[in-house]
Amino acid sequence: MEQTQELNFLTTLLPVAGIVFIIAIGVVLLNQNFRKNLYRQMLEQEELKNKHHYHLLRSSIEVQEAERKRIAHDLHDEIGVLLTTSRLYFNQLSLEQTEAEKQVSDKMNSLFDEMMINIRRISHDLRPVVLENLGLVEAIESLRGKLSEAGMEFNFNHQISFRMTKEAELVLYRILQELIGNTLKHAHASQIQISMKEHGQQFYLTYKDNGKGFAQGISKGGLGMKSIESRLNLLESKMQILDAEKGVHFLMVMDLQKLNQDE
Amino acid sequence: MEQISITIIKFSSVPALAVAVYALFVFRKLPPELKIFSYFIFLSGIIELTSKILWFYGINNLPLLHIYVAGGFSLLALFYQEVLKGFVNSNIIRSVLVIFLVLTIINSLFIQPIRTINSYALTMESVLIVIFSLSTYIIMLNDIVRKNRMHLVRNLNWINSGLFIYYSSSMLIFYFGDYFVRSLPRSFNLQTWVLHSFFAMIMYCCFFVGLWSRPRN
Repeated sequence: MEQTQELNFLTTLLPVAGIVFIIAIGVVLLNQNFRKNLYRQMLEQEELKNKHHYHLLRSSIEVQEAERKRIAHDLHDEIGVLLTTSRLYFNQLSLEQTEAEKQVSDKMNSLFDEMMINIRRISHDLRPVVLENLGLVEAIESLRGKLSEAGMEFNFNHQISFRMTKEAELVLYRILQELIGNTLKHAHASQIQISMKEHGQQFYLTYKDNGKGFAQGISKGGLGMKSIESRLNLLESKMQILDAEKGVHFLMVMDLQKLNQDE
Repeated sequence: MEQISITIIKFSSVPALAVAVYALFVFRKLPPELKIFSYFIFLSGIIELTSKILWFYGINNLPLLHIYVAGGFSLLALFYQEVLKGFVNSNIIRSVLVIFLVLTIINSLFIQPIRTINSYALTMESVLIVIFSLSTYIIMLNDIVRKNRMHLVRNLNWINSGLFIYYSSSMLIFYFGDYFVRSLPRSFNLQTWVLHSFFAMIMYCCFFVGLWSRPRN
């Protein structure tokens, strides 16, 4: 009788183990689903954060460009006009002059000329009219003249078969402006080489000079390099520093879709 | 001793009714998750009250248990779905609910008729609630979830604990119910119901604390 009861209890108890097992399986499955959803949420949050960062960067660069445009416009159209008018008035004052006064007047006129040339140069640097009207290749070509005046040998190779967006052109132009500026200011180079090529779905931009390089010249973490990095982020690209015997050698690889106006 | 046991069973409805009244008072101030949970408390209160009235008039109140199991589980599943929204796929909980309702209806129609105790459905409900509550404990340990549900963590812990304590104990009580009835003397059978009422009281106390510590701002 006692044995039957024990057996009866065991047969009742055994399914409890089954129930506990079912509970454990249920909890594990729900937990797995939770982990999966959590991972997805974290990825989504990261993506949102990146998007937000990208939009912030884009708007800050847009504001910067708009401000440059405004300053260039004010310099060229207002200060430039004021200077021209001042020069006219000044020349009216000095119709009958002694020899000494004439010398001062000539000096003043040459200073007026210099001021107007500088204002035009600064305003053109701030707002590259050639880039706006003729595009990136022409804008880089126009730099050749200025660089030749500074005694620099300038090689520019390009092989572009697509129409670049205005935004991408401006980004690349500003990057090259910054790199050329660095070379002129710090590298003491005699040669600059720029190459733009497309291959498959990638666009390659290389910049090379034969100056001092990073060891003595440009700082890798300087403001200029940070500005280049931010602008490249807009095109979802990064700048690679390649080994060079002399000077610096940069490579920037971009997705063609990001640059192409027709995509 | 038997008199005390009967008294405990008789008054076990008081906490359920008290919590239902309290939930009614604070209902408008509750966040959406706790509002869904309040519907479960209201259902429990109404079922308790009705079953006591039927018992008083000597009418079989077991059909109410069939309604309570189906309705109560539906509301608790919706509560867990809302609490775990974004962390556990809602379709999983919805599918479990639909399967449970279908099986409960089949059980009530063909296996354990509505005038008998539906121990199979009760055991199944308990197993599922224990799975939900244990998973909620684990999920609530995660920092991201705690941050996301910061305003609810305290209430949820109380409510979840109440549900876990009651349903895990009742799972065993209902599962072993048949065995006790067949094999043990009546006094022992009565003690199991005292134990059930005791755990139910603990559950309603946890619910009360959970609602009391609701987010005030």
